[in-house]
Formats: sequence, C-alpha cells, structure tokens
Amino acid sequence: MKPLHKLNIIILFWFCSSCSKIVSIDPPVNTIVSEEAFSNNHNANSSVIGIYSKLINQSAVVAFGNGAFSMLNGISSDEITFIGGDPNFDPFFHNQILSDNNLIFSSLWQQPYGIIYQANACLEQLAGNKKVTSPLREQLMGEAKFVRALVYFYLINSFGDVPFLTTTDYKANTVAPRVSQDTIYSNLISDLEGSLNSLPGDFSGYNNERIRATKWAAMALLSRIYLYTGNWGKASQYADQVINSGYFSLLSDLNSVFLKNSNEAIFQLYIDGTISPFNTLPESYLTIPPDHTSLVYFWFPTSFMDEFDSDDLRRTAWVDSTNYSGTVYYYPSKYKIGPTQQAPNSVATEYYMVLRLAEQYLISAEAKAQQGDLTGSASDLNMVRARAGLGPSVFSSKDDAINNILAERKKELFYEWGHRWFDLKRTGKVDSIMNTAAQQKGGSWKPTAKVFPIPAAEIFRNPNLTQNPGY
Amino acid sequence: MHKKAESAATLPANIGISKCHPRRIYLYTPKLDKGMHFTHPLPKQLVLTMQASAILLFAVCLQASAATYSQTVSFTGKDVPLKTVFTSLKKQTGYGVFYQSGEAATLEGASVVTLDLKNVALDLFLQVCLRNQPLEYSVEGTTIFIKKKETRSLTVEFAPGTPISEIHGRVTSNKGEPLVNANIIVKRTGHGTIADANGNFTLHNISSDDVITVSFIGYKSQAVSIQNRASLIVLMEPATNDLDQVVVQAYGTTSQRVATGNISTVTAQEIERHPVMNVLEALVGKVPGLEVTPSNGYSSAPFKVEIRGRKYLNGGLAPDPLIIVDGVPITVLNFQNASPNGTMGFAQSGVPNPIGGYSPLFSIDPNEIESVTVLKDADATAIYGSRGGAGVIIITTKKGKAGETKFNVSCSNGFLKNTQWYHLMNTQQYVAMRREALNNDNMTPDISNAIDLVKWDTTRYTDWQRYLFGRTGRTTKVESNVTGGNNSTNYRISLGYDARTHITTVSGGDDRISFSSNLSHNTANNLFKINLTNLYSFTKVNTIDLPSGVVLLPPNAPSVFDSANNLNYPVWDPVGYLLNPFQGLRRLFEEKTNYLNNRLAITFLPVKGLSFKTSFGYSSFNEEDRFVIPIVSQDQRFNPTGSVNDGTTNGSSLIIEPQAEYNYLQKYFKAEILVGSSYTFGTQKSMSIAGTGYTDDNLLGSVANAPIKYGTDAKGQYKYFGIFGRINFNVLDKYIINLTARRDGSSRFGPGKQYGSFWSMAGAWIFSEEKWFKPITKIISFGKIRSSYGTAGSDNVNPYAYLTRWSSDISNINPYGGTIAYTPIQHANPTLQWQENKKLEIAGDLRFLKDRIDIEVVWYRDRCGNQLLDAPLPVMTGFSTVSENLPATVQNSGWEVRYSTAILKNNKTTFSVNFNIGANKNKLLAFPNIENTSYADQYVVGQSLSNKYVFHYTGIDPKTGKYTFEDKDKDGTITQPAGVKNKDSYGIDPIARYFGGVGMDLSVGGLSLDVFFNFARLPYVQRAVYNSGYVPGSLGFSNQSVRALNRWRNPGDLAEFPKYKTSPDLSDQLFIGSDGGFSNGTFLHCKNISLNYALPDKAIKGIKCQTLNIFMKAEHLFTISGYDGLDPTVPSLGGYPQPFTLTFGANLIF
Repeated sequence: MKPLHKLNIIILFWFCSSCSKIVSIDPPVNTIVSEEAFSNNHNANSSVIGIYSKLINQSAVVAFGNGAFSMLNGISSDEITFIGGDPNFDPFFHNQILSDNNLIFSSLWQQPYGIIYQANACLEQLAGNKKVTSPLREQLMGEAKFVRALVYFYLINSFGDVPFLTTTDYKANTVAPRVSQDTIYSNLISDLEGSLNSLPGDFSGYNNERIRATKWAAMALLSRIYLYTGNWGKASQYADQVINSGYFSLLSDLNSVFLKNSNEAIFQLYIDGTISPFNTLPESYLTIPPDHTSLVYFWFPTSFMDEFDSDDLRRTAWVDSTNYSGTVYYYPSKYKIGPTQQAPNSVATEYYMVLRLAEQYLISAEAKAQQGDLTGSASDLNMVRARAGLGPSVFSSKDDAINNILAERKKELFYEWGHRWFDLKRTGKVDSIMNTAAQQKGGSWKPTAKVFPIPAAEIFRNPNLTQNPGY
Repeated sequence: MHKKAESAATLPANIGISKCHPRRIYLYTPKLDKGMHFTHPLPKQLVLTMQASAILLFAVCLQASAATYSQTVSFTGKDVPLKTVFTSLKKQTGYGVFYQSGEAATLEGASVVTLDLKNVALDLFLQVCLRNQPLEYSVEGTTIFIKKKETRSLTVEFAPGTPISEIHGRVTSNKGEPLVNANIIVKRTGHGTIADANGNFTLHNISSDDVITVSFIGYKSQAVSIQNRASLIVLMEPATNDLDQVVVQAYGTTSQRVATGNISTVTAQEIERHPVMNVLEALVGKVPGLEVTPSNGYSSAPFKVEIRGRKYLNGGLAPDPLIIVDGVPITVLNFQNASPNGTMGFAQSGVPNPIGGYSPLFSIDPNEIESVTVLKDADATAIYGSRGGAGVIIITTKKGKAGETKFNVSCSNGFLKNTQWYHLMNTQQYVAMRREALNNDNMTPDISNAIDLVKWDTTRYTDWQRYLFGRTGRTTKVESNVTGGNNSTNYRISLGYDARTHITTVSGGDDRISFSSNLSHNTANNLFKINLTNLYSFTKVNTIDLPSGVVLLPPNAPSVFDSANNLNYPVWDPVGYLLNPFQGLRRLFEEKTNYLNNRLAITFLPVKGLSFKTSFGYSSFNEEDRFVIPIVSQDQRFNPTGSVNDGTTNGSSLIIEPQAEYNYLQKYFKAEILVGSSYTFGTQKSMSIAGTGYTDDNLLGSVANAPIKYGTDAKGQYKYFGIFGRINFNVLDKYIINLTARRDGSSRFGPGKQYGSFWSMAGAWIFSEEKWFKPITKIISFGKIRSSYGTAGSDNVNPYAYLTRWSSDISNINPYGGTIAYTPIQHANPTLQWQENKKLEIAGDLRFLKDRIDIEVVWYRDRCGNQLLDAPLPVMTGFSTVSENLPATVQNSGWEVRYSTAILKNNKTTFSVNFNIGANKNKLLAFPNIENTSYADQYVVGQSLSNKYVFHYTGIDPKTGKYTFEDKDKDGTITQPAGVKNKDSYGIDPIARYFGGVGMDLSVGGLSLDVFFNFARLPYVQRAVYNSGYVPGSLGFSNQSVRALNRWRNPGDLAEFPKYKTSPDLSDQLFIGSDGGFSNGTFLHCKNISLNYALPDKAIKGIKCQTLNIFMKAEHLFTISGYDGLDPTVPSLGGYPQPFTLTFGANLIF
C-alpha cells in the first residue's frame, strides 16, 4: 500500500502547518483601538472633543443637543405652535406622546446615552492614564463629567428617574434599572463640584472660544441644578460667582447675544459652516423660513405675543414674522442665520447657545426671592429687564417675585432649550397652565403627560426598565 | 495503414496490438451481455507472444494515427437503416465504405439503428453502429470494410469455467473518454479493481464464464460476461434516470443513489425557464427548506437566503449561506451593517444606495449556470467547517463538451409591468375622511392641521402608485456560446448581454455583459488534467432614489413638478414636515461592477486509484457607486447646493486547495479517501468621497469641483485555513458510510479563539439491493435510508469585532472647533468564538415503477449553540448591538418532502409533476440566564424565536369607535409594551408553517410547457397599509385602503375600522402591536410559465442549423392570497415591486 504511505506524509505536512499565524490579519487601518485613542495628549484631547461633537451632532436635525428641546419642549408647553402632519411631532403638540415615538427614542434617549457612553469611555481610559499628562488629564476628565452632567440634567427633566450609567460595561448597563432623580442630582453635583478646580478658569486654553467646558460653565450648570433641587443658597451663590467672574456681560445689543463667542455666552456649541445641509444651526434650519412669505413650522400663539410689553426690545429683536397667504405668523429669531441667509460653505457666525449669563441673573433672582431677599432678587431681574428696554420691577411679596421672575423667564428664555416646559414642571404650575393651553391646541391635558414615556423598545430590551405612569 | 480510435494510443501494449486488428476489439454495451457472440477471441498464447513486439508496433500505430485524431463523426436519427448511416459517414469523413459481399447481401438481416452520437471517434462510431448487428468492420487506409460476422464456436479456446490468469479491459464513456476510477467487480467473487487514468484495468484469476459489473457515477452500470476473451472495452452510457445522474457535492461529485448527505440540485434546464437576472430568483420554491426572499423588486437587490430556518437569535441579521462559484467562495466583508433583508453585498462603500445593496449573484448570468447545488445536512456541509453552518450553495458553470464546434445563439425580448396595486381611496373619499376626522376631533380646518383641505385643490386626483410604478419596462437578452473540442481538449466560450429598464416614473435600468470561458485538457497519457474556468461580467445599474411610502400620499396632493418642470417645493411645504417627497426623482444613483472569477484545477493521476488535485481560485470584484444630489433636486430655499457621493469597493480573494484522493476497491468493499487543505486570503477595501457645496450642477461630474470634500475608507482582510478529510466506505452499493472532518481557523476571531474542529458521520442503506427485496423491485425499484450527524460552524461577525475601536471618520463624527474628534464605534468583545451548529438528519428515498415515482422524506434537526451574533442591546448602553456569543441553543427541526412523478411517458408525450415542501419548526431550546439579557422580554425557552408578542384585538368598540383589546390579566388596563412578561399579550408565530413549490412539465412532440408555482403558509404577515403611524383621517402619508370606509361613525356602529381622527392615540399604538395588525398571508404564487417549441427537422432544413427553438417565458404571473397587502413575502409598503415579466425569443444551435 505504497500510496497510503505517501498520503500519511501529506496529511502530516498539512497538520503541521496548522498554526494561528496563518490566519492572523493586519489590524484595521481606518480605526484605532482604545489604548491608541488615549496614548498621548493629542489623541486624548480628540477623544474628549468627540463628546462635544456628539452633543451638537450637526449632521442631524432635531438631535438631543441641537434643537430637540427648543422644539419638542416648546410645542409640548404653551410657548409655541407647530404645523401639523408629522406623526412624531404632533403627539408632543397634543401632549399625547406614545411610547413608540421615534423622536423620544432617537433624539431624547439614544443620542444622550451615546454621549454618556463616550464620556464614560473617556473617564475610564483617562483615570490613572500616565500617557496623558497632568493637568490636561484632570481637565479632560472634568470636561467629560461636565457634558455627562448636562446630558443627565436634560434626561431626568424629560423622563424623571432614568438609569444612571457611569461605566461602559454593556453587560451591567443592559439590565440597569432607573435611579431616583435625587440620587442622580447628587451625583451630578459632586461630579461638577469636584471638577471646578480642574476645569480652566478662562477661555485662553480654548483659543478664546467658548465652546468647551470651563469652571464657569460648571458653576452655571450647578446653579441651575441647585435651583431645580431647591437649594436656593447654593443656587444664588454659584450664579453670583458666574455673574461676578468678570468674563461675562449682558450685551446691550440683543442681536449680538447669540453670535459666536458673544460676551454673554458661558458655554456654546461649535457650528461648522461647511457641514451640509446644516451649514447653519440645525435648529435655525427648521425654525427660520426661507423668506417672509413662506410658511413656518413653529410660530408663537397670539396669546404669547400679547404677553410682551409693547416696548420690549426682545419682541422686535428676537421675534420675526412671515406673511403666508395673508396671515402673519410670528416665529423665534434669536438666531438670525436661516437656511438661505448663510452663503454655502462660509464660516459660521453663530454658535449654539447652551448656557448664558441672563439665565444666571434669573436663577439668582429666583433663588434670592426664595430666600426672602426681594431687593437682591429684583436687582438681578432688573438687569435682564433693563437690557430688554424695560423699566425696573418692584416685588410686593415672595409670590409676586416668583411669578414675575417666571413671566420674565418665559420672555427671556423662550425657544431656548425648552426652559418654559421645565419651569412649568419644576414650579408645579404645569397642570393649571396646560389645562388651558391643551384645550387651545384642540386636545385635553392629563397630569401624567408632564413626564415623557420611556421608549417602549428600550423597555423591551432591558428587563429592569419600567415605564412612567400613564403610558 | 490501420485507422484507430483516438485514445487508442494510450492503451496498454497488448490492447494496442489488437487495435491494429480491429476485428479483435470487444465492445460491450448494456445490451450486449445477453447472448451476443463475438468472434476471434485472442488466444492467450498469442497475447503472450505478441507482447514483446508490442511496444514497437504501438509506436507505429501512434504515429500513423496522429493525422486522423480529429476524425470525428456525428449522427442523430431514429430507426435509420444502416445504409443511410454509412452514406452520411462517407460524406463526413470522405472514407469509402466497402461491403464484402456486396451492399445488399452484406446488409441483409441488419436492423435499423437509433443513434445520437456527436463528434465521436470513427472507430467508436462504427462500434456503436454495429453493436447489435451481425456485422463487423475494419478500417484500412481510408476505406471501411463491412462484412458479415463469421460464425464460430465460442468455446474453442476455453471451456466454460476455465480459469484465466488475467484479463485486460478498458472502460470509456460512449464518447471515448476514459472513466477514471470506474469500478469493475467480478460478480462471483466480489473481488474487483478500479480503472486507471486511461480507463484501463486488469483482472486476475477469473473464470471464463464470469460476469463483471462495471459502474461509474453518472453512467448506467453494466454486467458484462467475460466469456472467453482476454481483452475488452466497456462502453458506458450516461445514466438517464435522475438517481444515477452526477450531482455536485463538496469537493467532488456523487449521485443521488449513493449520496449519504442531503444534496439538492437545480439544473440549468430549470433555471433557464426563468426570465430573471439573478439566479436566486429562480431558486424560489425549488428546494425544500431553502427560503429565498428578495428585499425588493430590483434585479440587483440583495436577497435573504435562509436554509432550514432562522438560526440566529437576532432576527435583524440574516447571514448568507456559503456560496461557492466554481470552487471559489464568494466572500464579502460587511463594512456596512446588514439588514434583516440580507447584506449589502458588493456595495460596501457607504454611498447611499436606494436599491439596498448589490447581490453578488447579480454578476452571474443565470444562463451560464449548469447547476446549483444546495447542501443542507451535516454530511454535506461539515467539510466546509466554519463556513458551512448556514448551509452551502455550490454554483457550477457550464463547461465545454467534446464534439464538433457548435454555436448556440439565443435572443429574447420582452417587457415588465407592475400588476399589483393597493386599492386606495380616491380624492372624494379621502377628503370626506379628512373632514370627518377633523370634525370628530372638534377641529376647524386651518393651515396647521389641514393644509390638504385649505390649501390644496380638493378635486385634484393622482394615483401615486401608478405615477411611480406605472411604466412598462423592457428587457432584452442575447446569449451566444460556442463549444467544441475533442476528448483531450475542449472548450466553451460564451458571451451574454442582458438589459432591462425599470418600471419607475423616471427610467433606470440594469445592464449586464458577461463573458465566460472554460478550457480543459488531458495530456495524451491522461495522467494530467487541466481545467481553467473564467467568468467575467460587467454590470451597470442606474436608478433614482425612489421615494418610499409616497404611494400613501393624499390623492389630492399637488403636482410634483411645476410648470417649468422644477420640483414644486413651495406648494408641498409641510408634508413630510420638510421636503417634497419626490426629491428622489431627480437624484441619481449609478452602480457599476466588474466581477471576475477564475479557477485553475490541475489533477495528476500518478497511480491507479490515486489523484492529486490542486485548485487555485481567484475572485475579485470592483464596485463603483455614485449618488448625485443635484441642486435641481433640492429645495433651494433651504439648501441651494448640490452634492456627490462617489464610492468604490474592491475585493479580491485567493483560494488554494490542494487535495489528494485515493480510491480503493477490495472484495465487495470500496473506499474513497479524500484529504485536503484550504487556504483563503482575501482583502477588501472601500473608499467613498463626498463632495458637497456645489453651486452649479454642471460641476457635479467630479468631486474635484466640490468646494468641500471629504473622504473615508475602510480596509479589511480575512484569512481562513482549514484541513479536511473525508472517507467514504461502500459495500456492494448497499451499505455506505461517510465520515468527514475539518479543522478550521478564521481571522474573524481574536488570538486564541481562531481554531475550531468540525466533523460529521453518515450512513446509508440501500435496502432495495438486498436479496430479500428483489421480488418487489418491480413495484419499488429503489429504496434507501440514510442518516447523518455532525457539526458545522459559523463565523458570521464583522471583521475586527473583537477589538475596541475608535474612529475619526466623518461618517461617524464631525470635527469640533477645528479639531479632529474621535468616537468609539463598537462594543468590543475579545472572547468571540465559533458558533456551533449540530445537525442531525434521517431520510428515506423510495422510487416506484422503474423510478417513475420518486418520494423522498427527510426529517432533520439543527441545533445552533454558542450563538454568535450581533446581539441587540438597549441603546442606552451606547450601541444598539454587540457581537457576542450567547449560551443559547436554537433548534430548527422539520420535515421535507420531495415528490416527482412521470405520469405519462412515451415517445411523443411526457407529462411529469414535481412537488416539494418543507415545514420547519423553530424553537429556543435553552438559554441560561435569559432573564438578565436584552432578550428577557422577547424570547421564551421552548418557544419559536420568531414568536411575536401581541395583544389580542377584540374589534371596534361600538360605543367609542376605538380599537379594543383583551385585558388578559384582568387588571383593567392594557400594559405596554407587549412582551413575554406582559400578561396582557400572548405569542403568535409568523414563521412560515410550510413552503414549497409545485411544477408541471408537459411535452408533446417538440412543444413543451412548464408551469411552476410556489406557495407558503404564512399565518401572520404584517398588514402593509396599516403599518404606520398615520391613522385613517390624519394628515401626511395617510391615504387609506378603501376598506377603511367601513369605519365607526355613531355609537352602536359595528365597523371594521375605528373612528376617523387626526392623530393616533394609545389604541392605535396598541393596535399596531396586536394580532389585528396581522393578516393571513398564505399564498399560491404562479411564479413561472415557460413554453418552448422545437421546430421539427423538416422546418429547419432550409436554415443550416441543428435545432431551432422558439420560446416564451413569463415570471410573477399572479398570486392567490387573502393577504391584506400586495406581496406577503415582501410586506414593505411602497418599495419597488416585483414586476410581471414576459419575454419571447428564439434559440438556435448550428
């Protein structure tokens, strides 16, 4: 059986050549592994920069950090009206959101948790990383914590209790249950307080652009969180620190407030004028009509326009109108650059405002009023009123002060990250105001509608995730 | 000088001598063994004495015959007198025919012959002509001598039973090709031998009255009486029954008779009946257990190909089976995520693709395919190891055939038309519905809630379906090929062109040019064989970015284009909340593909029974795609710029497979041993570059003109290495055992996890061969039971899934503040390893009445463990999936039945029916710790994976006009979402209960008609029109089926549809997740009718051709179904439908 001997030899040869080298391939070229992404200062910086980029998510429209709250909170509240016909927007307008709503899922849940994931990944990789030098490492970690806190702030104010994820471990995160808002708030506070010293105290390290987190941005967010959690002392304390920092001022020209790196800006998001089609703010793309005879998607109900004093400068500077088929529609125009106003491919002149000084004055005013300091409160409020060309307010009581401040907040902060909706909710006025507003919209109000539904698809995937009542 | 058969030169010396004396050739054909007497047996002593001088003489013969090697003859005819045959012979060869006793006397008593011989050697031709005749022949120079056989006693040399020390013989096909490894077994002793590379064999120690059985795969077995001859040629005829036809298996061939595995073959004949551009479309319903679902009606669109049910937990991913084209696997790295409808195929650049991808098989002309073999069970697939888990499809292209040069030209022309439409409301009905809805919701129509009523013309009507899909497409197909050659060298060259235009408003089209060639050569000594196959094709697809879902636009929606033929954006403004949904009509997509598939196989047969074969395969594709958004397609008020996306994907792979095969035959016992190894190395690269900000459409031709451009690329490699072996034991063609094993390594896994071992064992018992069965073989002509068990694997994950990866690619993340930004792009999982699929199969095959009725019944059970998949995750973990192995086991088990019968079979008419059906049952067998995974609310151990949890719909509430549902847990509310743990919901299983096909083939004279239906029982298919957020009465893409007219209006109404309203509420959301949202989709689909007429010989006498066929082929004729939608197999709404296709053509062979 000679041939069989030969066969044996061949088989042996083949078996011998079986080793792992023969099937090992070159590493991927268009991506890098985690270790590489944090192997030096430059790469680590780019990895953290990615968190901001994800937040503004400029390639998308109605994304978490680029308009979702202005639009969705806006039409959910009594602030703004929306053109009908879209099955995802309409339910917000009618306060009848279903748990399978696409905007809830993608813009208000998937995107923020994607940002949180990257922040967590950066924090894990940076912790104890010797390849990234101090103090940059601490600064980058502070930045990641700041953005993460900002994102969680909007999550809990939309959904109530949410899963609080601080690692990238998908096995643990898959089954993470909801955590009480109080616990999350206290974590955010300790993260932010802990980062104050590692974050830069000015903008020089950021090319004098106000597009990354600073100590002041962290303080501004802290003052807001303290206001929301009823810690009035700390709220006014941090707001005053920001106000008195010397880096910010209320611009007398209302048309300049939302320009990039405006002196009122505490934290803005960078806009790239070359990203098509949104070579402008994605929010403006939808908000500002191409001309003054076109239809707009978002407009103010007449009742809101009537709330402005006739000499309120904001009514003319921050509101524009279009005459569509004989009817005048008023729309927000804090940002001026709409789809046709900016030449293609030019450098952006506006950045997307996240935190600005006027809000700090209003926080301080409210916190002081709550602490009984009506004079201090009025003085803060009047800074904002004066800038709008209005005379000073005098408060007769704490309630009067709070009501005045809330009314002022509506007019100062309209269509800006959904302040109105959150204000209604946190002050407990939401039921009374929305009862009327919902009827005007052609629907009815249910108290459970003030909290958005947790996406059904997510409950389906996470066995420990529960739904909010009413959905 | 003597003339001889072309292959005679390679005969052993002693036979060579006798070839020089033609009268001493013994020719055996199946009909010979009974009472045929051959004269002049060569006395043994003579053979011995002549051996010395043989070599010398042999050389002379060889030289002399060289000039006549190409002398071949063809003849086809039925019951023809020999005289006619010889006249034709004379014409073809120029040889004279000399009748020894004069023509009439010599041919007296000769019978008529029926011949169908193409290009056979003269010698062989004569042997066949005269095999049953009382005549013999010799060839001297250019003269053929025919004379009466001399009648002589057969027992002169040897008395019966005389032992003969050895006998030499040769086994060839009826065309003279040596049949290597043919089995020759002496009936009396069971001992035997196999034929060598030249078909020669030698038997020792046999007796002069022995009978030998000669068999070879694909040929009719014969029993031949030795009588008292010392040498013989056994001429084998190809098998005509499908039991003994050659079928392709992994690394070789077999026949249905002796196969131990589940091998289904679809032949060229069946494929050619379908006027389709992708062979997968022709496989629908043809193979039991093979489910082929197109993702839409585009010819180049991806298909979902699933063999024996869903094996993955993740329904979002449909891994393709391993598809091997002429020995070269199609391997594509998925740089783009696959959809549940299949992978993106060759289109991996990331350029927006309105077609949804590019099916690699679109690059292969279906008419170039000789056979498609589907391997299902462990026995058939385990040898492919890691890649055989999802089944294997082997595509073999047509090869050259020896014979005179033959040209085949086929042309056809036809059209495509959409024939299926939704019955939607007209304008009047729609407007009334909207008014009623607004009224119900106490709303006054105004701009914010009823632009369709207050701004648009409420009398205008457009049928958006016909607007989009109403065009008639054209199809043209031209094919030509030429084959020829002889037994040592033959070739086939073919050229095909296939073009069709789309049925869409703006015409697109598909074009394919393919060129293929095949060359095979045997060396003169038959020890080396070379086969070279090349397949090249160029395809071009262009289409528009078809707006999806727009068939449900309000029927009174304004005109798409304005008077200047620009997109009419301003009047459309709010619909779709952003844009004129028809922008895609001006957006062009173009895709071009080059595909090359080459294979060189070299076989060396050094000694009897042993062969070494090495196959080198090279395959490459290069795909270019381009998506253009011109400014004219934009709403220029919002974006006055254009953009271009240009992409390419290039992939190539090299496969080297050295193999050795050893055939061994001992007493009653045959063994076939195959060992081999396989090494694949492939690279793939894709690039895309986007140019944006164009301010002039004339500049769109090049990205260089774009003010802003950015590029991205992806590169990947893959390597496989495997060693495999197969041993096949066969005892008396009765008991067969087949063992296979493979050890396999794949680069898709991280270090330490790359190698896996796979194996199978199988056995078959052909009980109809048993003695005790013989009495009933008249009724049951064949019976076999076979069974197999084994493992195969799957490595179907994206490349580099085991690494954590960060990307700065602009498609993942934009730079920020002028600085490059990084973002993580996947959860890493370094522990990934093989998925293992354990397959068990038991099958029985029974054939009745001389194989006229064939029933095969198969039971199988596949268990897929260590599930490797892109597991879905809650998106809050950062990503929606992770590649991982889960400890779950998925079981698919079921029955498959194949039945075929020739109801009528005579000379003029045949009528046969074939039928196949497969019923699969899917079950999640085990899933430890399921409660802590994202599947906890989706799957239940013991239930089908495709179970959907739904609420039970209980009709429209006559009081409120809303949908109502059963509150199963009686807690007063319906809890959301439906799921395993939700006590309000229950599981329904939408999986096909069974599916299959039935075909009828009728042929009368030259006319043949083939009809093919496929069917499936689909109890739950999502109702297409209602599967959206737009409820009857709302604004948007919300036209409705006319059935929605039957709605609730007043308390007490019993209606099918709820009260019209302007926006969905909770009851609508619940309805979509209820059993009310499903419709029974069971269907019978008339898939194909083909009619072929072969013109009679008389009619084509004038034209110088051999055959002329005219044909008609029709595809997608009609569907009988109660489904509430169009096509229950593709329940998506508003996508490109599968059009009815009708073509006419002619086929000419000359």
